[in-house]
Amino acid sequence: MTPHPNFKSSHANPGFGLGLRTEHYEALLNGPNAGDDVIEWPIDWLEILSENYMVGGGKPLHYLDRIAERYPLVMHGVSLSIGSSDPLDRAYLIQLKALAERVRPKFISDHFCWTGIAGRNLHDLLPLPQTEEAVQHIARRVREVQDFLGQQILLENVSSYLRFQHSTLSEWEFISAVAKEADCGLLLDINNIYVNSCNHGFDPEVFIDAIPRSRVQQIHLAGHSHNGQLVIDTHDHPVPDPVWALYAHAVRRFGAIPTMIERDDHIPPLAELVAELDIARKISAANLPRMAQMVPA
Amino acid sequence: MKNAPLLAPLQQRLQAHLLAGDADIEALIVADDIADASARLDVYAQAYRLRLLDVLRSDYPVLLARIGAAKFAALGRSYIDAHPSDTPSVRWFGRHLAEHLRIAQPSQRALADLAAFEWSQGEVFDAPDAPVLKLEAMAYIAAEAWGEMRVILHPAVRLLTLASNAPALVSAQIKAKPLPRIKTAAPQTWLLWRRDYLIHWRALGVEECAALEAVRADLGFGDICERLCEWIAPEQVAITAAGMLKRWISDELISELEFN
Repeated sequence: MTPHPNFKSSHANPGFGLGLRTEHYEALLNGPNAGDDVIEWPIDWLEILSENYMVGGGKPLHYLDRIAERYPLVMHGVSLSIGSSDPLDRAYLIQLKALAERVRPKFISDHFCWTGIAGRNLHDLLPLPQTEEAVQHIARRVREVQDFLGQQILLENVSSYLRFQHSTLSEWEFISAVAKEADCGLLLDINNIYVNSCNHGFDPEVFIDAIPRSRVQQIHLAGHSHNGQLVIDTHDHPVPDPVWALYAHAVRRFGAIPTMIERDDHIPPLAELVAELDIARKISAANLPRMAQMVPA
Repeated sequence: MKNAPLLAPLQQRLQAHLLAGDADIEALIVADDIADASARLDVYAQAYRLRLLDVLRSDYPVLLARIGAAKFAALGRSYIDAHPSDTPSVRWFGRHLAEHLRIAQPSQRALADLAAFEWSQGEVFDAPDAPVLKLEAMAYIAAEAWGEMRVILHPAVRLLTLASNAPALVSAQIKAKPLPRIKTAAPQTWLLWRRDYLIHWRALGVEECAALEAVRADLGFGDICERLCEWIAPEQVAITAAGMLKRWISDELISELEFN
């Protein structure tokens, strides 16, 4: 499976993307200046929610194919349930692979979580105990998934609202250990690191500083809400200042990494998200180590 | 921690807690100055129901508009408890709602019809793609081939029998008009299909309904004509059936004609 030929990614120009949402289908296809010749939005790639396109056909796949002609795509799933104690869902993996063959994504990602057992799916990114048992369990399953897909996958750190008493590893130790053991990549969600630092009382920069540089292949940015006690990962607000500050820290540590903004609710016009993406570009440019800013002629 | 649970039993207990609140799991959760274990678990328990309720609202907008947010939320909660999701995509979570309504509220048969009609629309929306036959194809059917010919429907075609005015509510909602009252009516079969990625529907007469059901049962065109003799004079059957086929092809209901 080779990535889309238009995928603009190098260490100097990793590209900045957005999550593909149905609300933006027409705007993406029409370009920013409706009526004139169609020009592209300044979006380097789009991330699709894989499960939304695991359907027979109709409008979802029609738009997917049309948009894929214009923008490189990456795939992001929510139902791999890599941490579940159920066996891997082979039917799901077959659908995932079929979609990947259609989309030819640079990245296929899912989450450090489980979504259900005994055939149930709670459609939530449920927390895992951070134990050596879980590291080995997940790493074994990731290797199986990667063998099946013929492609390395990325796993994303999730927002969490609870920790288990018997966890023996910090979250950053846990995800780094899985990535090393399974030889998979990491999708680092900066908002989730911030949310968890508030909910579990740790320094988010310590988290970022502990992640091996070579494993981070994609970054997510998003907004959140407060419920009075805990910070909730709602993806319904613009990226707030503390998350931008943490992103700057991540750029200083990891260099130029493909970065995107996720908005799942209160979705604004596309131009608004494109403007927000420009903030990411500027922060990235201002914080890249000097060597990484040098683009070969 | 002594007696730390292994992954599988831990997940069983947390899932049982979130689905039905029937497993004591608080002792396994870290409590601190930020929040106690109960508040932390509540985030997941509430999110589980809210997320699935949102899915139902999105799948059944007309039912929601007809019965109102409070009644819909109560219906949704009872559905979520009775039919926990068993598919990787939330796309299929709401598929039992009409059946659930029929059992939970047997006096509200018309509301169950509305749910069935809205669900069928979703099925038509993203059913598999397939070629659609062009009208010119009719000109190439050899006279002797008509009898054995089989008509292959597009995968998005649905037949749905309702005993209510549910489709009128959906039409009103689309046109942003006030919704009529939902009421029972004589049974009527509806044809739903997709054309240019849009969903269409119309009521079927008894003859056309019988013909389409025969098509779905994979009968040959000759056998379909025989069935139609129940309503149509034998000398008119062939021309009537050919007229139906022409309309189906024009409406993009037909993927293929098969000849043995």
